[in-house]
Amino acid sequence: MIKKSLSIQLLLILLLPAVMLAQGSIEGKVTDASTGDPLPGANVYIKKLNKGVATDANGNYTLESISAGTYQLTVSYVGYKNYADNVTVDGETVTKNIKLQPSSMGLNEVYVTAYGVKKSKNELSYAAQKVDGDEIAKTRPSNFIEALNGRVSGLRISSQNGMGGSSNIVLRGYKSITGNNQVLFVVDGVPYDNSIQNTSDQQTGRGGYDYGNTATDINPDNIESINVLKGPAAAALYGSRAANGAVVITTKQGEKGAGVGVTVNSSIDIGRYDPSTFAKYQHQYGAGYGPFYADQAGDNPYFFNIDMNGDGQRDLVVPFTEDASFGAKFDPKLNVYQWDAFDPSSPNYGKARPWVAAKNDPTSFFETSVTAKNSIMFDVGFDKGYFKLGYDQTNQTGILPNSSLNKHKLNFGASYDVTSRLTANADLNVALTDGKGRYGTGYDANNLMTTFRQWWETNVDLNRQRKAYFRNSDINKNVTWNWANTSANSPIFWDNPYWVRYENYETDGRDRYFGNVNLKYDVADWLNLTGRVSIDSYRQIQEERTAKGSINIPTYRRYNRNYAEYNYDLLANYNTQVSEDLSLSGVVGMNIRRNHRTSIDAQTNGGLLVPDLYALLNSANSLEAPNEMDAKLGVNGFFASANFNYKKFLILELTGRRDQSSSLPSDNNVYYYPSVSTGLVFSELMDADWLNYGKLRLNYAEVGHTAPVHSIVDTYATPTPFGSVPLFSVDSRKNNPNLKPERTRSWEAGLEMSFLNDRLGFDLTYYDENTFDQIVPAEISRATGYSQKYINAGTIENKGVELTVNSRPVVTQNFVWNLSVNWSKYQNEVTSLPEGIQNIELASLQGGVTINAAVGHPYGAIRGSDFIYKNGQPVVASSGYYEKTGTSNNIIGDMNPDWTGSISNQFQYNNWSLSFLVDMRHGGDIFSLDQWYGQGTGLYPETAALNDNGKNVRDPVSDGGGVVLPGVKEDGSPNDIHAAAYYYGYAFGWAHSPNARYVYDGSYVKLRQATISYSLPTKLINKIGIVNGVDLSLIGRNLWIIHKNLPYADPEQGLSAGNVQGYQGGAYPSTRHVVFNLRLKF
Amino acid sequence: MKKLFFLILTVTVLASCSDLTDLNKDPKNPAKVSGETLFSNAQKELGDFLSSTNVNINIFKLVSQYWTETTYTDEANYDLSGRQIPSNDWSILYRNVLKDLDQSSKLIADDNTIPAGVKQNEQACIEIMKVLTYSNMVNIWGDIPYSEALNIDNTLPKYDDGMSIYKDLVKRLDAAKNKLDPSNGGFGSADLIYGSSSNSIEEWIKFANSIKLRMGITIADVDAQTAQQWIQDAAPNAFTSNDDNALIYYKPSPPNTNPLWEDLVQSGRADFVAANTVVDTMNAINDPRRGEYFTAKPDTTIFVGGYYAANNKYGNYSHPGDKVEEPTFPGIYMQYSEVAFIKAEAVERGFLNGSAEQHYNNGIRASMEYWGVADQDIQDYLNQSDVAYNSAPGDFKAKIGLQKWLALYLQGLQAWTEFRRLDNPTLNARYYYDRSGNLQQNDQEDVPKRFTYPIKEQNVNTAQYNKASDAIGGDDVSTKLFWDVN
Repeated sequence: MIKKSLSIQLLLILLLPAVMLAQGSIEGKVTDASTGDPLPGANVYIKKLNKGVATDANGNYTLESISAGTYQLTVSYVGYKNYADNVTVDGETVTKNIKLQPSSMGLNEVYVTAYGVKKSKNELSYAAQKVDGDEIAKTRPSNFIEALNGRVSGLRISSQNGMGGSSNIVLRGYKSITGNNQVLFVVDGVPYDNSIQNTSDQQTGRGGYDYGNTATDINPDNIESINVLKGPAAAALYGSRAANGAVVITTKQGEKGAGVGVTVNSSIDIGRYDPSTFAKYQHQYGAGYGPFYADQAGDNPYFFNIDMNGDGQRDLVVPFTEDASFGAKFDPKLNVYQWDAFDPSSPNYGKARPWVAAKNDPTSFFETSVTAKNSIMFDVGFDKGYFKLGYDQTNQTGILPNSSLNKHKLNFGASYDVTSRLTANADLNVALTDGKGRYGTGYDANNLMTTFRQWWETNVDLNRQRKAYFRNSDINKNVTWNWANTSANSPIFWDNPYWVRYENYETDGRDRYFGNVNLKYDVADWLNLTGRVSIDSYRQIQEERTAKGSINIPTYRRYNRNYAEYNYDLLANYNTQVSEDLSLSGVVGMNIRRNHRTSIDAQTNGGLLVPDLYALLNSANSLEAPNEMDAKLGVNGFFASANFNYKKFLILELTGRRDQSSSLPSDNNVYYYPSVSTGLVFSELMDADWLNYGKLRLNYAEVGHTAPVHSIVDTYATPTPFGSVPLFSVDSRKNNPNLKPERTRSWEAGLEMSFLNDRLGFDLTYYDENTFDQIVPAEISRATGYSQKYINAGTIENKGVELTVNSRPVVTQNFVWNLSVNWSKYQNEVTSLPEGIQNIELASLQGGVTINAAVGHPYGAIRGSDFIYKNGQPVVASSGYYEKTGTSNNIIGDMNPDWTGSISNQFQYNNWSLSFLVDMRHGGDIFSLDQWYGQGTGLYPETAALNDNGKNVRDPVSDGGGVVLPGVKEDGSPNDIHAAAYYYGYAFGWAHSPNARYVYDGSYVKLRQATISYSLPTKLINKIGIVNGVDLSLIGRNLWIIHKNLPYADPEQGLSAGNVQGYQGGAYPSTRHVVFNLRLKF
Repeated sequence: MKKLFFLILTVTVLASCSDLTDLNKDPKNPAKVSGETLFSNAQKELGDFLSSTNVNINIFKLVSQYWTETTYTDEANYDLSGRQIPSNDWSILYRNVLKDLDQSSKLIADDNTIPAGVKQNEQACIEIMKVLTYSNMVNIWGDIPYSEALNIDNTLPKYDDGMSIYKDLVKRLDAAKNKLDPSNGGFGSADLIYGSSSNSIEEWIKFANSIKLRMGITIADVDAQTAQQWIQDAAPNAFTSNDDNALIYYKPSPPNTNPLWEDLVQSGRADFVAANTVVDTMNAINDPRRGEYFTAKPDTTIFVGGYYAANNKYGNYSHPGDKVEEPTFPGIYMQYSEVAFIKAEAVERGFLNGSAEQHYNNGIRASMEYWGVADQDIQDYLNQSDVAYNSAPGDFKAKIGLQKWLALYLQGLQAWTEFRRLDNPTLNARYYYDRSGNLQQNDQEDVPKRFTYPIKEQNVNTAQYNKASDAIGGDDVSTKLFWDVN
């Protein structure tokens, strides 16, 4: 840190103007623009001179000793919009009175809409919501998307808890049955790829790593603002991809004539797993599935009975092959040979230990995550332009051993006025990401949460496992708790957890280049032309390893992926006053988009030859041909918009776009999409004191969607040749040469009002969107010889309400309280599917449940086996166990929440600021595979709890044990049958339960974020010199789950971003973050 | 600067005029292949399906109680829905086997480079593979989509009656047999079953007749007259020795090994042990195949099977034998021993003349020879009073049912079919442990009579599914198939 600031000082000295001429001063008064009240303590500042002062009690200020020249004067004050204007000093005193606009309602706040067109809130005729870049940067997230959580009504973000995990980002619910439902990201007017990098196996819980999404390559410190365009009307100009809404990001731009500015932002982030989101274990019973292990009379049936010490007596040996805890009751008097008795390097080799619960259960596996984030932004504004440079470095370690994620982000931006009419601009970004040891996911041995939450022995001590791993790492021996047999050479189901982390780790890297160059030419006052070329490209490598000695087949896999998108835009922006009352503005343009994706995926076959060498040549058998992918997409678009504004109270906006896409059949590849939006500022027509502002909005839009690439022509699948005999196979998906574009139609109505001098305001939106003619690989009867066929069919309707309320309940001279509420609700229904089809399965998941689009139901219906009900109560059979349906075709849940909301509070007292955000979701079902299996293997306290007789449920029913499952008996009376629960597969878990028993309500209330920050007073800063601003903050993220119904897990967890939600298996706990941040401005 | 704009404008307009559709070509996957390659793939897919012991696909070795499971006993307890086994099998057979055969036939028909005689033989082989596959499917589910199957333009195919499918299949089998001409070549090395034989077409004729025999005996209880016709026609030209066996010779390295190797060896797991049902039976009659089918119980020389469907400690019981665990262990479509047992039964039923005992002995001998049992041991075995045809207990169904079951080891699907049809041997009711570790047994054996239809059919082909379910008497595991009348 010290080194950095020294070098900055040097730069400053070099760059600051050295010659001082005649001097003058500036004075004036700062007042509230709406009330005229003076504003004391406002910061008045000249950046170029690095000179600032605070207003006095009456709002007055004086800046003295100012050399002659023109300066940009900026004023900032809590709760008000920043003010900037030029002041010319010529050796005398200049008076400059300043009126500040309150910021909370922000009617004049500038919104960035499609193709970078800036509009005030007043002029918008569709739903949009803005988040300041500062709000994002302040929370110091490692992934800026997380920081958007709860800030925009209708925007649902769920981030996976794994280090660098993916975020599911959906606006207004799911619209496309099998297509992409994620929002479009646009950075400085150019689409920014946000692909989810995960395999379909990963997304359906079969295993693999969560490589996150690529929008995280954006440097949060470089974000000026984020504008969320919610509906198709707002985003229609972007074409096909905007049907899901758009997140329009504007990066920080330099300022002409602003002089030199340097900002250093540095933080340290400490993360700990949240125990309320992880398994709790019962501590009474140990390894085993039940009393199955006796070989001869007199044996203890809960243990293996082997003569270990040669004394002729059969000794007790833990049933270490069994990955469950339905075994013998703990009893310190019993001496039992455990897994380490078979490890020759162990001090316990050949020795028995007392039979007790582990001192270090899996909670001791988690480490403290540390993230150091340092950034420097450097900008220089000169007469004819500016340039800026930024560098951000983030080094993160996760909560699992041997995990790290490092990012470097560089950005350069420049603008230069070539002539008074021509400006050349460039913006270039580089983002380098290196990951190591990302967390395994899904139902796989490399996901330790699967072990810890589903298949575990409560007698296994993690500390002993850790020591065992390190003792044996030199000889590449996997000393697991789960030996296959007494020769103790290999695991049967699970590896030593430390082996998994230190041997079977992945590494990955992504080098991304993103940027554009453009020329802007002012043809006339009312017309300018922009030509722009932009590139978004990255190369990515993912390398996955499974070491020799692991339970999974030893493997080295490498996956190389290249992505490139080129956009060529030509835009004409016009803005003209047709008459005194009517203005007309808009854009006419064309966009050529070319997208190219390639990948190659290769892995070793059937094992590795030598240990520790992760290269394709180390394959035990000859390599199978790698999978290659090469996909190109081209879209040519023409578009125009016209925005009529009559007397600033009546707004009519028309847009239209024509796209031609390469992925549709050539005779059907052109599609048009129009939109009409109107806004009426009715407060202009009324003379009501109570109403400051009122606007009605109404709009209609259509958006077209193109087909996925390669969905027109059939190709064959290519299995590995059988020896020298080549094999080909008909692909399981039938493509369709008659596809036509998919379409979305949307209506939206909105009402915005503000009252009480803008102290209270709201924005209410209602929308109804229909996505029809969907291009779906429809599930068809396999008897056709195919699994799926691409067709145009199916409709999803989304109706919803979004509400944002902003208020400033308290505003005094020193204290401001801002309160805002976001709330949204949508109703989603699959209204039709291809003829004869009632259901499209989105994913078939472990545990026998499926996620579906079913006619007449919300998208994302969870199907599985259900209870048999009587009078609404589950029926319990005479055995005491639940009765269940014979099929697993019943709808047992809906992944969509009933509503989501957030409350955000911000308090400002002088230089102190405190804010917190509470985020909540009501409803949204989750099937928990962790409970489905983990209850069945006896890990959780419920499986060893006391029953109504005060006996342990595992005790024999004849002794008063057993469990009474909630429900009714077959005759409808309340259940009072004690069901035996003495071994796995009985009263708890998968074997005797319907899937519905382990479907949970995913509601939560979370304290998402809390921040305390302090800005050093201007006076103090002036004394220090050099520095212009010092902000200190303490930030907490995900501190507290105030309420949830899902036990032992975070209800926001899923498998991955994507369409398959409402399911948890091997879920990671959430991490509480505490961040200390220091920001210095020079 | 204006020049620059015109330049950009020109470039963009030019770019927009190029043929966009070309971008949508897939340069990495083939759009044209030869028909033979699809035939080979279909053979492998069917071979894999029949051989596998993957619990998501083939649980017939459990259902027919050759094997049982160790820790996770859901499938041994006949749980079909947890892993959607019917859906998986339906997909494999329709999509991976039948569709590839269908497409192979179309491509070969259009291929002008293949001589007409060869083409005719190839089309006949494809038909035989289709008949084999469909007949297996009828034996799993009963009524299935057939006349409207494999047509992408009809995504809602109706289900046909099992018996009419059987009859049509035999018609097709006859036509294919008649087309086969040994003076012309066939698929050659693309034929994974008989490609290495010196006269593969003759083998295919025998194979077709053997399939017809099997189909005939399957319907013997429900339509004796038709059964007799089919059997009389096919018997003279069916398999005559183990040299005729329809096998797939797997390769030593993945993914072309016997699928058993993947689940038994490569997985490192210990999921399966011999079931007490078969081991107890073999012990009682000193079956010399024991040591080939299974290993001895670890550290002993005795053979012990795990209690069927109960939890079994892997180390306490016999496991699948060493041969079975070889990656190159051949997969079996059909063997001569089965043909011999069919003939024995046909004689008993009066369909054929001759000696049932002779055929019975041939069946046992062929099976033992296939597994490498020494001649003397075979003779000793046959001489035992419990084995010798004249003295073995029970009626012909019991005698043949038992020995056929023992000979069909690893061919779980066919063994299950024979068990359902002959109601012999007696399989075990499922075992479980009580709290004190005492072994208990269910009151009665409840082996499924059929598989339920895939849930996917219920959802995507609802109307036809409902009709089919009604037609067979309910889509349930306890519904007996049309040929299962006793």
